Amino acid sequence: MKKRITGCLVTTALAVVVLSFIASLYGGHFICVDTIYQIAVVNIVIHIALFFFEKLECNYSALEIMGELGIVLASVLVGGFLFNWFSSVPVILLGIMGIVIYLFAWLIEAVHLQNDVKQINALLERMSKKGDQL
Amino acid sequence: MILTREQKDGIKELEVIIRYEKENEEMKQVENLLNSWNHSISCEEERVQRKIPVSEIYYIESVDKHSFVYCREKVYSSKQRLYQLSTELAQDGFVRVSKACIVNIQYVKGIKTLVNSRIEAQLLNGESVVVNRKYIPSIKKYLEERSPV
Repeated sequence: MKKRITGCLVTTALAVVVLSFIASLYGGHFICVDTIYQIAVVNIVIHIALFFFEKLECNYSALEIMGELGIVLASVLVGGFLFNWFSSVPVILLGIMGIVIYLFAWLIEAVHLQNDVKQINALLERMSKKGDQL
Repeated sequence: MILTREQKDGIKELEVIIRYEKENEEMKQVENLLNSWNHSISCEEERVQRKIPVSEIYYIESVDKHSFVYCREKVYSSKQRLYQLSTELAQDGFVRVSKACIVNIQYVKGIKTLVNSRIEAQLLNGESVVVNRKYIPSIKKYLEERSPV
């Protein structure tokens, strides 16, 4: 649960940073507080959807990535429709932002996973050494 | 650890006594190892029932709701469902690596991430099984709990 809440906060922060960057490119100087709450809501929805998608346990990583990306894009587009984001941001740009945020989150998770795998291998090695001693 | 062998006439069953001052992780590990040695599950090989010692099982896979028990060289089938075996063998060093597979951790040589972001567990018999990334934290936790200090 803790990991999920952290993940949700991380992606919300990433979304705010990416949105700020895009907005500054278009000459924007502020982000509305409402927008931050809306981004948080969409992120919560995405993480809930991903939680259920994980239960399917796809063995093909490409298919898994496509599925996750599909969930992210669908949620961003539905969020855009509900919160009227399309009046200020074009649909394509919103989609690109979704992909960029997903890629950032995917990279962070990949690094995390790599660390976990290293730790598991170290523990296995320690266990096997201990086993040899026994 | 001191290993002592004692030969006695008239002993019908092998007896192992673990002598310790205080209960610790090492003692528990030896006990679990001996228990798994003693523990076996019913399997089938060409319609012949066999008892397979848990310590000989490398991994168990479920295909179309049928469980297949993989040993060093042979594969047996089991009538028990994977979730039942998973519960039964949790104390014997078996960890879940995907929805359809549990692995005996003592036969895992290492875990490798592949270029296509797939994760594989390499076993001591040269085989490898796919690990779902969702189970990586629980595998790590399991090993940390049992890791010798």
